[in-house]
Amino acid sequence: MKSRSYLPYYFIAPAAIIIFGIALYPILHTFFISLHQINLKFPDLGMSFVWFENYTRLFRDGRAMGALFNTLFFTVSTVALELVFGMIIALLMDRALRFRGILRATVLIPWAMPTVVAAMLWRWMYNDQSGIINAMLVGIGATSEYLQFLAEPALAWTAVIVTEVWKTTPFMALLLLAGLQVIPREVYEASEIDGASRVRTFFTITLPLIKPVLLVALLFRTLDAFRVFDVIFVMTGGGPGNTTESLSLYTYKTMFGALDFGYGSALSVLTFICVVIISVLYIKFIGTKTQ
Amino acid sequence: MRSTKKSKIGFGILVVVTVLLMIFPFVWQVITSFKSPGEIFQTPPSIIPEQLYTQNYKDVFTAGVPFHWYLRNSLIVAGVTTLVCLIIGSFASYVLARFKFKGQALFLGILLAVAMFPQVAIISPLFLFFRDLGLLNTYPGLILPYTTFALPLTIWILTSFFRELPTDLEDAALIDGCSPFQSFYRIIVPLAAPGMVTTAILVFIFAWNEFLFALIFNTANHMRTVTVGITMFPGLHEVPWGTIFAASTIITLPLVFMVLILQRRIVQGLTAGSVKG
Amino acid sequence: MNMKFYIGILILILHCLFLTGCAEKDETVIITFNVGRDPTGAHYTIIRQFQENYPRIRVQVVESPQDASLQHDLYVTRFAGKDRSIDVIGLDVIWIAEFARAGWLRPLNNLAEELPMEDFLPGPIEACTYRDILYAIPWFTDAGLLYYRTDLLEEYGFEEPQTWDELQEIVITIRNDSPHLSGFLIQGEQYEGLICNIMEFIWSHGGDVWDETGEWRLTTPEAETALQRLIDYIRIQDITPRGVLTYQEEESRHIFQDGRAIFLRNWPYVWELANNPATGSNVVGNVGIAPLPGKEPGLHAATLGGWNLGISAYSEHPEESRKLIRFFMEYEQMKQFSIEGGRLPTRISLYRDPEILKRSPYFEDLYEVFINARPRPVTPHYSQISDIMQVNIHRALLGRISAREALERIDAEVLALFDRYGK
Repeated sequence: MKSRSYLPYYFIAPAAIIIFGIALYPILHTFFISLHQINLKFPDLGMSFVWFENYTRLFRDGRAMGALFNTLFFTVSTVALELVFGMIIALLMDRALRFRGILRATVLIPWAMPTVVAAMLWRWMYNDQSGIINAMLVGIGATSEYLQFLAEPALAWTAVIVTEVWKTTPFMALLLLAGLQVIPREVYEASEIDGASRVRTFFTITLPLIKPVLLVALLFRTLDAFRVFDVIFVMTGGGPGNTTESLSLYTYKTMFGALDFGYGSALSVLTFICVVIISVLYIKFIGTKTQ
Repeated sequence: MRSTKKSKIGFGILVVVTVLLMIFPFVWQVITSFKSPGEIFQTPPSIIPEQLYTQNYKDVFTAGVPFHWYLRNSLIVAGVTTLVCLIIGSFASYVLARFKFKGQALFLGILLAVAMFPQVAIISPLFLFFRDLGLLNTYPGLILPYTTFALPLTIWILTSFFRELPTDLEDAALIDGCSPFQSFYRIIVPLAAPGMVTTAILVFIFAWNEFLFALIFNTANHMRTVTVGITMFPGLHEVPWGTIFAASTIITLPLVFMVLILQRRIVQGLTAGSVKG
Repeated sequence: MNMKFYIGILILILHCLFLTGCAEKDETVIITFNVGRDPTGAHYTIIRQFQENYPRIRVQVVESPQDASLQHDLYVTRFAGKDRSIDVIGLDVIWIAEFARAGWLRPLNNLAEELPMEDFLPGPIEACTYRDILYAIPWFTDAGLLYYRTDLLEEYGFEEPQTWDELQEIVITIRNDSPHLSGFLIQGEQYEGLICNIMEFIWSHGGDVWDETGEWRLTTPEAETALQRLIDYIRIQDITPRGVLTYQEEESRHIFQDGRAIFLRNWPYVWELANNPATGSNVVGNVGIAPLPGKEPGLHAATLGGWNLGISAYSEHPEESRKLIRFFMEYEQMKQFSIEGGRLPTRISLYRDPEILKRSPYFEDLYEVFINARPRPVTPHYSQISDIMQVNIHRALLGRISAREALERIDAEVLALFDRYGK
């Protein structure tokens, strides 16, 4: 369709006004602050413009780099698992005709639970003495004694990732399901007549058709996973031995603990830049062209 | 599709297992919310509560925390946010999907950038901004930021859905003399119902569960939302797990019912789509 | 539709203008009292009395979640914006130097002149003082204590332990017969509580974070012995279960009151809960309470907790706020608050008050602990120092680095911090 006069601009105006009006200033402000040395605790030191000093400090800060690595690891593992489970659940829901309503509502529950409470719940299910997970593992004979899930780095990572995947798979599943449902049934029927196997149908027909939705789901899950805070904050506080600290958690400790707003802003911008890079890669490799 | 009895059973088992895995933690929360304080920390944990202890639920509403206010506030804030997001978002998505105009890619990019920014960084400037506007401790004070941060997701999802819809019907409508707005409202919106409803659910839950803005902006007790409300239960050291889990169960259930009710709309959208497809 | 939206926005804006526009002037002064929510609601009683005594001052209680880090976020955001809505504010002992350095608190030296300062516990006063200026008045206090199972100790013929070695011996003897029991529980997650616990270990071995000249130095033989002891407890001797690396106060309390541990380090709040059958406690009547052991008898140490009342530097009603704080600190009011809220008073004389002792008989025996409880390092850098210590000590407890390495790293990072911003 050809653009006719200013019509598109009228249509996007409300959204643009809200977003520019509210989000733009704080974001630009963060960039601005990140070029300064400013610590709220020391008002007498003032706010001095230091160019990119906060950024060069970033790359010398082992903790920031560790947190960056942790965050990447967390993002890749959770998003990959969510994609697999989300797709399986979406396909199940797309097919299950009789219980679709109930199925969809129950599957959505993890996403509907407040993150903080869900993390508290899991933390307590992992408890080394009264946690149900330990009781079940011992019950089925998977382990002979109770494990200290959140006290060992590898187990703590597993625990945190399982919680996050459980919590956010419904988001993926629901979006993918919506994508599956706009695929006309005739497409499948045609493929069935051709005698294609189910797996083949999935990869040659279903997947390309839901690619746009898939991209959105992946993109937004990645953005969220990369900024992970609540789950780690509640479950481990970054421990054991700071092995599960994420970038957001470190940023939070820097800004609200140390009150170092300059460096904290630089950490935020680092997070932002990483996410931008990831998004561009996504859009390049799976994205459909803008039109 | 080809389906033998065997594969049907296999499918059924898969469904049951999936559902069990997904809802187990929630079920465990519900079970725990009916346990007495002593029983909650037993080793090994009891699968079924020794006696149905309902005091936790009573405590949610009577322990000096006006939880019904929090519920009301959350409903208003999340409801209005969802509505505003859908209306504004669907307008923008429609033109993004159907028209080619200058600045389109830039707009989509900015949307993503807004969605990407870490919230801890912007809370401080946003607080000042909202205070100067007098928006602290008001509903708009939460609805505005929630809308802002939910709009990117809304627009990206809806745009991807609108693109999938066939254009011939709208073309026909335009030839018949419908305005672009009418063709959007009469044809696109009903066709994209599954996407709209899905988006509505996601936005509603986002707004319902948001914590940081709610904590910082709305400090007056009568304006507090449920997620912050739950953190009002613990004392100086003591954490009343039973009450917290009861409260969490109470605030999760409305969302489950909402999804159950919205089901119908999704099915309707489906039939509409398949007729036109 | 578009039109409707704009009208909506317009209404919204008008709505906001109206809300801010109509803050009318009144004869009475309204001040806000900002504290974490207290389920006992004890402060409401005192505020009611205050309003009866000062009819021209109205106190608006603004409660936030009790969680200290949430409160900290909330106040930092408000103070950073020079927000004038805060008058009286409840402060965790560890915030005061930081907030004072940031210029967010009003000096209260003039208020100190009106109060019998010699009657206040020295630890909290030290925590409320920054560069010789008092920035808050201690409201209620807290101190780390040792809980033990009187029935078990009696059965095996032990007295309450005076030293860590005795505690060890008791645990090893009892666990010989009952290996399922945990020995000594602490709060060992990577969070603020870990520092409370570790400071007690360091102090009770004769160590400290400051040397004789007042310079920061944690790498001392005393601190190393202390940390090494805890590492051995967790990793070698199994005196302390490894799970403590994930425990906060409540996890450890539940295990103890379920009857699954011999010793527990925790705050005074546990006393009433563990002795109350309604909480599901299995150890009612079998709970002993004592000062934490030391390296040598008598070398007890307790970390100071508790909350204090201060006035925001941006408050427009400092006079009225001062009156409210002073009222809270009166003998009678503090007594009533302590009894109703189950809090530890900050005034020394209250520890001899018969009514207080009737409610909490153990105050008498533990008077020495409360009076000698020590604040965590009083410096505006505390939150960062705590973070540095949490990370490195948790690593040491995890067995990743040695005790000495942990202490050296802490020293290096803390000194770098002082270099950057001054001490």
